[in-house]
Amino acid sequence: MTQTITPPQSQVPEFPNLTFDDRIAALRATKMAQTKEKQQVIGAMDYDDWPMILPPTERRRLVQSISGSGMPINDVLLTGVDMLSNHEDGCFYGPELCGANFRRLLQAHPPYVDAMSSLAGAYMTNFGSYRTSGWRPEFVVPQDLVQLRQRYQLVGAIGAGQHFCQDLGIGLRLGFGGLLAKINDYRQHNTTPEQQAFYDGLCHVIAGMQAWISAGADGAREMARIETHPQLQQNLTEVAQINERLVTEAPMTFREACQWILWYQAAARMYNGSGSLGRLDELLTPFYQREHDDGTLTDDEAIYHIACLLVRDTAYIQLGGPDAQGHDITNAVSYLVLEAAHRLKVPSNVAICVGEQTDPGLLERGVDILLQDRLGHPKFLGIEPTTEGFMRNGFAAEVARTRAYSGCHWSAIPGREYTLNDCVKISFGNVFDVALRDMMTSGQPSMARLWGHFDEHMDIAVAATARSIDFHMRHMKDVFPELVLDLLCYGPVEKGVDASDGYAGAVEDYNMCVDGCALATIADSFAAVEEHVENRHRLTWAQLLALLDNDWGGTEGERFRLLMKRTPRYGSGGSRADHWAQRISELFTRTVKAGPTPAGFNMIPGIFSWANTIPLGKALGATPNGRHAGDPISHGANPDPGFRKDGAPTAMAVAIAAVQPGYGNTAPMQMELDPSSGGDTRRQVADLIRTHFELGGTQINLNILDRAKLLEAHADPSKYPDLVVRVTGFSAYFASLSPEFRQLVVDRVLCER
Amino acid sequence: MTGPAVAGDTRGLVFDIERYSTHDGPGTRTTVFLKGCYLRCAWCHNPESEDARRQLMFDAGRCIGCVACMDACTHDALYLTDDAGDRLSAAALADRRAQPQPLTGRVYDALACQRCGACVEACYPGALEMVGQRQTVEQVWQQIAPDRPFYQRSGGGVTLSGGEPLLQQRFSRELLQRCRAEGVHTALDTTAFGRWEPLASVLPFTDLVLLDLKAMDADVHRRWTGVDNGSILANARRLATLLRDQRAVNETEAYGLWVRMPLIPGINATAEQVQAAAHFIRTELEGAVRVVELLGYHTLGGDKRQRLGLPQALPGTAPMAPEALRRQGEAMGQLLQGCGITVRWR
Repeated sequence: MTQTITPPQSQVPEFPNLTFDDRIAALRATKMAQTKEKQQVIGAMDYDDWPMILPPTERRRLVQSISGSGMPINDVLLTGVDMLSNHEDGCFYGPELCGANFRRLLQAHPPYVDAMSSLAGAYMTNFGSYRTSGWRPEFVVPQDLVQLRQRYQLVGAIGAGQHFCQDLGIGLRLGFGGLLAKINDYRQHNTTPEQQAFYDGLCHVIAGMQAWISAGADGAREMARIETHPQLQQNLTEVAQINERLVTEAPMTFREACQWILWYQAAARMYNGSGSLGRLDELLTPFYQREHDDGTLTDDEAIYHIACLLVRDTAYIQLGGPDAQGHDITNAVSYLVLEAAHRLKVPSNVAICVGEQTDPGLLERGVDILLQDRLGHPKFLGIEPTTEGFMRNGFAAEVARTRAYSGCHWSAIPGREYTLNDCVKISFGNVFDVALRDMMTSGQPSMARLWGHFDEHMDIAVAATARSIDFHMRHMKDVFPELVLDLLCYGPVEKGVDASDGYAGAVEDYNMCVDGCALATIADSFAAVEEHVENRHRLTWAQLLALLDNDWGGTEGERFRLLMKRTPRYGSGGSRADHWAQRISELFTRTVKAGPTPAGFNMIPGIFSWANTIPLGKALGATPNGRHAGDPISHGANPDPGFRKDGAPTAMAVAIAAVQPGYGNTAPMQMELDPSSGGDTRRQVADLIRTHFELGGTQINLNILDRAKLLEAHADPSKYPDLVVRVTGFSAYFASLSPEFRQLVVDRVLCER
Repeated sequence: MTGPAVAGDTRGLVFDIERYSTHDGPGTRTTVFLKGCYLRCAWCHNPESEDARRQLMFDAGRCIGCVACMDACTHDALYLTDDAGDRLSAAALADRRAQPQPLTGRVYDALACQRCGACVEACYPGALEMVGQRQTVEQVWQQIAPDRPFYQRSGGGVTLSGGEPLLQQRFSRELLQRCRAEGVHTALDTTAFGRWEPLASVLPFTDLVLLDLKAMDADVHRRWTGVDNGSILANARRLATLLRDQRAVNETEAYGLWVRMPLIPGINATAEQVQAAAHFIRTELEGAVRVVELLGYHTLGGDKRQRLGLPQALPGTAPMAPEALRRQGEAMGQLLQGCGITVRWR
């Protein structure tokens, strides 16, 4: 039997009767210890607080890798797994071998059982980090496209993974045995070699999963045998029984459903980083209702099981919101999930729907928890603007309402929509930079001509992005297919094709995300140039270009940098920069919506930069808003910190509502509020959230942060190891972030009122 | 009655417009700060509000020493002196221009200054600020209007503060009238000093009066604010009577009268002063007052005084300790028990 990994049990209290809260506290303590160890071994982790735990000391190998979201990361490999290669470059590609290798990893992966948890399972490595190449070399990106991507520093699309949402309901209905039967059934009808290879890949994944779950059951059984604490022994016996069943069977109970989701989610996370759970309250409701009505499940116990799930993944979850017919589905389970995150007090990405039709109690409870815990959760979704916006792509309300929040800033229809959400970015900064230089090489420079060039280059950048999306969808199935998410989608199994294969129409809808970035940076740049070059003639166009090339160097450069920087900014209200921000957003939206990709895939504009603020900033020279070359670009749709003297949240909320692209993808508002602002804070925050959404806002990420504590933690992160912040769409331990990322958060907080 | 239509071209001298204001009346508000005040409260946290003219504010921390402001000044109001106090020669100034260094010996001649703003315009880093902008009612309204959905959602609105808004009586009246016409809740933050008529003239357009009661003791008031409190107390009585007669006070707190009292350690933060204020409110203002707020002293005004070139008025006075403030607040609550008045402190 494989060695079972279990956390040190030093925190097990002596007394015999462990309450659910005792166990949740123990889970939290274990997670803190595991996080600390990761910080020591891996170093900075500028991403979501993934639930990964470290492999045993003797089975670790540190590597540099690319995350499932396309960011360079340090990672830890589980050693003792030999990956097979089917390519001379040493990497593995295509469904059969990706599946076979993932199976090898799962079979070699030690199970994890914590006696304090009602659920087994945790993952220790990222499968993607075993891949030595991100793209199959024979699929050559056309040279002109390479040049365009380089010229505009276009991010993503080619080789991006996951970032859409499976329908867990399929898995909860079928279990792994049922899924296997379904695959075997369809493979009788879809008999091309490509389809058979795809099915082989899926079968490998399931076989690996079953082996992993079985090992978990064995581990729990063995632990139960030697456990002396009666309650824990009972718990471990139950864990063993549940998992013995779940190897093949579909979950029957609330606890089993949580356990099934945990296994699936751990595998999806390990395979390529997927963190999408979607509408957990809706998924768990049938199980809860049955046992609640029978009197076999108390709310406290349900909260505990959910907490055991949430401690093992910071997955993105939507609570409440409409069903297909428009009726709010908020129910008891919505509140239980919220409560579980509250009691657990670790990073989480639970989001609450806010709308005229949505239960207002959920918002009120959410705000209470936000203010009380100060952990940056829950987050808030403007369900009506996103639903109505999505309908503008030509979808019926019944379809639009089923989109579920499932990633940093995004939603997708579970099991039916492939999106590349959050993976495709166009930086307005680079478009502006190219436009400015282009204009300077011919004719008399002017604002009108600058805008004309900006428009022209936006068009080229969007067209190149569209081609990149097509290229990705043509080949991704033969590079690194979505084998885990495919299992729970409508189409891939039925048709024998990977979800990424838009050309084969594997899933029902292809709505490809295209996000704009650096909105504030470039709106402020347009305003600064207009004010000081065109209107006031404080400097000439040639001088401006020279200053940018010189990164505002020298005494004169610094003077002009400060001058440009004090131009009224986007977010100040009624300023020219506000005007430019709206104009840029409209241009971007119009350009993206001018037509589908050359292959005919719908594209949806959003404004969000995610963690790309830093790398995209590094790839951009100085900008006329007074920004130095290499400094981070602005955050999503947010104004730059210091946009108003009073830092008024209402001003920010009005500004961001006014730049929404309006097609269902979001331009979130990231806000930091000082808890000591006084008055009826709960009501103020709730009013702010509701009103932003009334104005058309789509999503809110809120931090309630104590300024003094944050500064102390920045100076010495070890002082507050449990401080959690919402960095952007994701939340993380502050101490896990790199100094650069910590600085971003600190800058935002220092500039709030 | 909302009165005649407002043309919107009346100008006021505004020194700040604060959005998401949560301390000046109910709900989420925008507070418009008007320049000029009768009082000279030593503890004032908006010392730039006192002078009824535009004022130059200088933030030394931002200055890069480039002397562009001095080059721009055509009124000889800004210049540099050497260690001996003699004005720097043109050649020495040219050196500074070429090699900026931290500014020492800066002289600002407020009498010579015409408040033309040329220096502010020239200043690269924004170290100079002209406090007070002439703005029309319409211009101010344009800055108030975007937050209307927030006022509606939260039961908030607009507050006119200062300084003393009644010093700009016509502008205040027309701005309040405009807000009222747009369906926005209006509040007036006033010292109520002076004649009754200016206050009376804005009341038809004011939903809530925030009346600042600085000190009950006449001597203390005179010493620390520079004026007598006789007219303030008289106007407060008259206002209370009027509100009671008009039944303009209701249960929501958002209409009627709030009394606000700053508590300054060593000046009026005493049991006697709090008791005296409570007695006045109970005996003279009952039935009109919905809320009493005690505002603990803080030192935010000190930095502004420095940037205005004013001496510190309360050097060494520490901020009001939260515990002491709580005690005074609870004492006030006891004294006003049964009056239907909510007591808060912050």
